[in-house]
Amino acid sequence: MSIFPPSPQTPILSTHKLSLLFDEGQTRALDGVDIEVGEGEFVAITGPSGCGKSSLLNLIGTLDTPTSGDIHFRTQPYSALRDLSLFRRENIGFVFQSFHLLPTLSALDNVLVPTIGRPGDHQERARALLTKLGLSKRMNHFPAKLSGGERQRVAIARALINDPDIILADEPTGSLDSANAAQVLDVLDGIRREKELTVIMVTHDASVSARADRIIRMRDGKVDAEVAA
Amino acid sequence: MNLLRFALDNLYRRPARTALTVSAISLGIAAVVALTSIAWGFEASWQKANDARGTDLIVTRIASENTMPSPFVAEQVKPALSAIPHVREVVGLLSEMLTVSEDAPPVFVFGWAHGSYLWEHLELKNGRWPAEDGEAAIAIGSLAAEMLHKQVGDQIEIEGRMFGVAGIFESSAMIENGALLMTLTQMQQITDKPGKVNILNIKLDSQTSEADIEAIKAQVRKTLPGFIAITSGELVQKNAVVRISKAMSNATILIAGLVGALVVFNTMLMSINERTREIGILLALGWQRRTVVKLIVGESVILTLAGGVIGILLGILIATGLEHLELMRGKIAAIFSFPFLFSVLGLSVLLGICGGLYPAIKAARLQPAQALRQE
Amino acid sequence: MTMRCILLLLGAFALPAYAAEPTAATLVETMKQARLSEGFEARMEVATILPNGHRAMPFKLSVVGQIGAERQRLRVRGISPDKVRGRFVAAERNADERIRTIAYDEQLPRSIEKADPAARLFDSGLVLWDMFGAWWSWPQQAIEGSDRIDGRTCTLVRSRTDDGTSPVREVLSCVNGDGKLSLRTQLFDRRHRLLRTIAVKQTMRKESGALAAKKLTVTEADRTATEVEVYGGDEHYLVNADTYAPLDNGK
Repeated sequence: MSIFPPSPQTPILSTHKLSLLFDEGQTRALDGVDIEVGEGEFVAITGPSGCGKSSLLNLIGTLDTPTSGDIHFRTQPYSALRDLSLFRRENIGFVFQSFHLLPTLSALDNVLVPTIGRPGDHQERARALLTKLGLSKRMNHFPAKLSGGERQRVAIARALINDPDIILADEPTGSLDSANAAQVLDVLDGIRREKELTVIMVTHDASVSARADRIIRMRDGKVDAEVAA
Repeated sequence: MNLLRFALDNLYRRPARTALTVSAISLGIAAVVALTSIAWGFEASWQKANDARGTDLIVTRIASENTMPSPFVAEQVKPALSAIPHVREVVGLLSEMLTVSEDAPPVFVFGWAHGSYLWEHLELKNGRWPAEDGEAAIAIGSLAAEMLHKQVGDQIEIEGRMFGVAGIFESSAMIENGALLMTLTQMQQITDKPGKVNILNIKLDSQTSEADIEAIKAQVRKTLPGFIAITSGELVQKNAVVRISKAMSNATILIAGLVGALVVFNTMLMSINERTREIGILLALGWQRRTVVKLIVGESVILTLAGGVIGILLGILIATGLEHLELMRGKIAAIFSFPFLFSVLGLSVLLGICGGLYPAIKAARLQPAQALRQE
Repeated sequence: MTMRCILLLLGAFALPAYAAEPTAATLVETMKQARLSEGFEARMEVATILPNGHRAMPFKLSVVGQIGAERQRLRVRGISPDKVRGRFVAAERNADERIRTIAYDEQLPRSIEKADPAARLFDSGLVLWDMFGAWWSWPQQAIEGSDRIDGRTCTLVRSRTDDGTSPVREVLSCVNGDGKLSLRTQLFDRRHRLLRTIAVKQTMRKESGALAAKKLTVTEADRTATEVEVYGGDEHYLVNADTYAPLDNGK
């Protein structure tokens, strides 16, 4: 549950003149990006490699801090957040291209990793999530025994375990064949609708971005175009 | 899934490194346990020998380490001591470390004044005590009997004289169990020191207070130049071997502690460098920075605690093994006190915290985005 | 002027520069003083190792001594094993510097016979003559530089005698001045052949602060080595009236 309640008037997320410089100012990854994402929206960010789409996702996910500009989560500016990791835990779920599952942990334990250090028993919720994602028979399998699609579904379950409001997915289908990719996207979309989640997904694949409500196209660190899918 | 299981899993993922680190720490801890327990045992055994005898004060010549043996004529000092208030009995003792058998290391040979209170604390297991001052008979400690393969009725040659083994005794002090015991007169004869003793044991009456003991010490210092009166504890503290062994155990604790902390530090630093990206993922998944600190310090404490437990067992094994070594028998009795072993465990935990804290803070300070980019 | 005179003159001028260094005479006097004792006893274990490496059965003996300026007396008693038990060798050195030695057996009171002070004691490298340190009263003493033995510096002193009756004619000692102990003593015969070397391996401190040997090794010309370890004794031994009785009776 979020500590910042939703309001129909404001978008869940908005960026304001967001800039990010790399290499001591030599490289401009983002250059004055202004976007808004509405509650429950499914947004795809696309563009050629190096256009700044992953950097934008990292900033939204508080994994990096902008050189200038700010991001608002509902009414809350990121710059006023005192504990970024707490904010991340409460509000954001990450899905990566290469899954980033821990090889020595079972599917179930991998889902539980984000709950470590939080009080309470999360086992039942983890099981329920995995069952919902069609992995009821694979819970005690190790990542090496799972297919790519299954691994990404475990990763999605992991992103959901802390009940976030936003899922940030960085090329979630980049390591999958088209059949598996389609399945993963189905799962992601289904969960989004069911839980009224906001999903922001980075992808360079047009067939993947086509699943989104809206596509933000980027080029050279700037928003190039915003189109409805 | 909790932090402990996660930490254990991380260590389990790198079995070779974990095993090496644990063995390095356990060796250090083993050295600490073995040396310290022996040093304490040594001290306690001497102390026990003096305490068991019921001696309250010991009067001896002031001597420094590694000096010529210089026993003194008992009668020059004894009358003055006997005249001091509260002094009940003054008993001479002459001892030397002597080789009495080709195939056994040197043993302590004690000469105690016949009929004195010194004999009272021993328990006769077999045979009898030397019947009179002039009898060429000895009583031997149970451990000495075993080491020299002697029993009641056998003969032992000491400094060229034959002595019959009259009895075998048991003492609460290991040093006495490994010793041969004869009357003072006999000891003086065989070592060619008629009338001389190494120390005079003083038994005080029951009304003596701590202040009285201090007064007696001061009086001895004043009236008997060259002599000191000390309690058995102080004598033990002055014992060169006790001092050396304690110094060695302290040095070992220091060195093992330092090396242990460095080993853990190095291991954990290597470990977090290898896991930079993983830590980035954990942070991205919503881990609090303090959870990362807890994880890394937890891992290093698990390492040192495991090393500590194995080291304690190994140390006990080493010390016990040394006790049974022919050369050492009857000379060391390691003491493993629970408070000490718990302190060693505490030391292990401290090592883990000290060695793990910096790597942990370093890991927690990682920028998640940067960490994620790392291969 | 002869060469010798020049050297003497040079020596005389050079002397003040080395005032801190002990002269042969003061060093020898120090050694003589350090040896003085109203009575001492030392018990030692002696092990002889033949040149072929064979180790003889070790034995124990006790040495009782009284070292005065005029008269010096030593009595050696075999303690164990049977081979040496109860066997005595006693010797006396008087102002005339002759050493008179007798040998006797405890069990046979009338067995007293004359003995050679230069003889080996109980088939070991120990020699009674050496224990008297007679060379410290020889007239010719010269300092020949310094050496380092086991980390201790010592001054080399060469002592010579022309006395034809002396079994040893020349002794080279390396004296540690602080400890008043010769750390290494080499004894030569009249043809300058090395008879034996006495090397101190471990020391202990006397009440006076001077050092005494705790362990030493005597190596003879044929490379027989004798290891001696003092394991017991008394720095203030009360010499009995009858300790030297056989010496007195044997006169």
